[in-house]
Amino acid sequence: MSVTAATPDLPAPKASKVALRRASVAVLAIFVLVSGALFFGTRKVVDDQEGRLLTERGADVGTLLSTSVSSGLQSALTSLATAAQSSTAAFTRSAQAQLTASSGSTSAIAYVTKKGSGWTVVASVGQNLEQDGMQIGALVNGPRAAMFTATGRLLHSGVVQSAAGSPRLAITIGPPTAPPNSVVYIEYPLDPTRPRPVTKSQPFNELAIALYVGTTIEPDKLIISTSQQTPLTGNVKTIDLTVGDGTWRVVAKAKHPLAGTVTHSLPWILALTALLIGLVMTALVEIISRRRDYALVLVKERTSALEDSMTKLEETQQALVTNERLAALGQMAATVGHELRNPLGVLTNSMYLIRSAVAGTADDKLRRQLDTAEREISAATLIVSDLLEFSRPREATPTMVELDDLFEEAASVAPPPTGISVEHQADGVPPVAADRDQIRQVILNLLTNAYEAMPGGGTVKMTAQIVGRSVEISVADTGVGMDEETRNHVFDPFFSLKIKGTGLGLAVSKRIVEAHNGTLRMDSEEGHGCTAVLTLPLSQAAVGVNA
Amino acid sequence: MTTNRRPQVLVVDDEPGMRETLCDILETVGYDVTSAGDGQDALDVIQHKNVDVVLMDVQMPKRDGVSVLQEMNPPPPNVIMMTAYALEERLRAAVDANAFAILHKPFNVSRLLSLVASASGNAA
Repeated sequence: MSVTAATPDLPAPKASKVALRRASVAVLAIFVLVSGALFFGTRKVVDDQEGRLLTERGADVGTLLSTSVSSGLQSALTSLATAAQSSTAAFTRSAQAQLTASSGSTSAIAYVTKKGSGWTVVASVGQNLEQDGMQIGALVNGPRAAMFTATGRLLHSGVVQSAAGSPRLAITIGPPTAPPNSVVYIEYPLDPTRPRPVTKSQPFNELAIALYVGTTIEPDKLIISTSQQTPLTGNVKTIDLTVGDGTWRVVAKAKHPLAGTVTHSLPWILALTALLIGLVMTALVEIISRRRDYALVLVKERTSALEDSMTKLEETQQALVTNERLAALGQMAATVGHELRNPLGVLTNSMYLIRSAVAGTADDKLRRQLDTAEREISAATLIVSDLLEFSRPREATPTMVELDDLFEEAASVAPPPTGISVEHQADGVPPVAADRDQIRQVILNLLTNAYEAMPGGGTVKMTAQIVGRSVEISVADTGVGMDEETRNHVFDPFFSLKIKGTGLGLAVSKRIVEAHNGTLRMDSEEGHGCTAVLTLPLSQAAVGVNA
Repeated sequence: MTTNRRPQVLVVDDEPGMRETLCDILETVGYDVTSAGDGQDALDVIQHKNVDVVLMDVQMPKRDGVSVLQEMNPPPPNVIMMTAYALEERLRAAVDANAFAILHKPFNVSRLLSLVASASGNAA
């Protein structure tokens, strides 16, 4: 049993080299999901942290701005208003001093009083006062007048346009800080396009800041910006400051991640790490499952090989049992054959003696009975020979055989029944090298078959002639013939048309003839008799009759 | 050995029926026939008689015909071996021991007679 075949003999498991196993795909999918979850989860945490930090810093900035802007503006306006309380001249002096000190960041300072439904400029300093309608004695109207009207005891702020169309931050304060029915007014030019430089020392250097007057985010309302790109977009924080009676809005945005660059990259780092681990795991699972599949295929193949050899073993065992039985049967046939051949031999001899004894008497009836007895002895002998030859074929021991003698002997051993005549001729045919007894057995088989094919009588012709390099022996009858179906099976063992007989005669005959390197065939047509044709190789030996 | 002496044939077979019928047939034809029922008797006869042809069965209970053939000394006369069903190796052994012919039982009497005739002719 060569079950333990070498591994390289086995074909590789049938699997695509490219397609991943289901388990690997699942592992990969899980890790992609984990990676995604980590990414979004961490990013949420980081964003929350970032938002919280921004809120804190933004609040700090708001507080700072609120204090600095409010207190700065408050003190400036309060000192002007206090001056206005004492005299117009004192106001003008104070305003002039502030304008000079601000070196251009203040465009106008005015002191106005209510006259009827309008406002008149009492005192004013600044640039381009006349174009803006803010010269001393001018009656103010438009947005500035509306601002004055809206001003109360707290700081009031707004954005107005200069005559040239540039925006100005306008701050006012009314009584009681200012004299009754009066408003003190300061205008600062706005240039939102110029970012205010922010130094490292400033508390909000990590933030980009935009400060708007009021709660609407419009370029016109922008007072301060540390960035050139306004409005600020993205992750921004809005802080509202109370300045006087109004609300200013601070928009803050982190310039760099407040929680730190590494923290900010954490989602990516985690996600990529998870993805990397996922790929490695997938590769591992893939390798393991491929190995497992391969092992399974090996096991399957080995199992089937084992099963095959088990089946073969069983079959062999069965065949052995059958062979043993057949061998026992052959043994039995040999024993029976041996035991029958001796009495048959004695009978043959006795028949000869009886025939000799009655040779003088011309009793036809007796002669016919002797023929019948001899024919039946011959039939019994043939059955024994066929059975022995079939169960235990004998090797041929060739001698030179005279065919005409053999025909003569066959006809005398198996004399024809009444109504059948036997003719034979083998003129000019040299002896053939053959096992005489075996060829005799074949001829006797063909002859007795011919007798049985002619129940109503007829003629059997046994002839021998040279055809090419062979001797062709034919045994022809004038009987019923056989159909194609019969002709196809006539050489099968145990095939018989007769009620008696073993069905072995022609099978054994064919085997004997083929063992002599000859051929045996049946030529027949239904109703036109049958001719058995036997060919034997022509002997090259000299024509000398050996026994 | 005179020219008108009848040829001597020894028939060796353990089967009485076979032995007797063969003796009868050969005597009828004109041979001087002696018979033996086993191989040892056959060897005794050969030593004391001038036998021309021996007709001997292969399978016999005490001594196998082939071993008798092999033991014949001086070299055997013309021995025809008869067999009902012998193993091939025994038949080959018989051929090797110079058997004149092998006859398978049951045999045609005419054929037996022609063989005996040619065997005795060789002896003469």
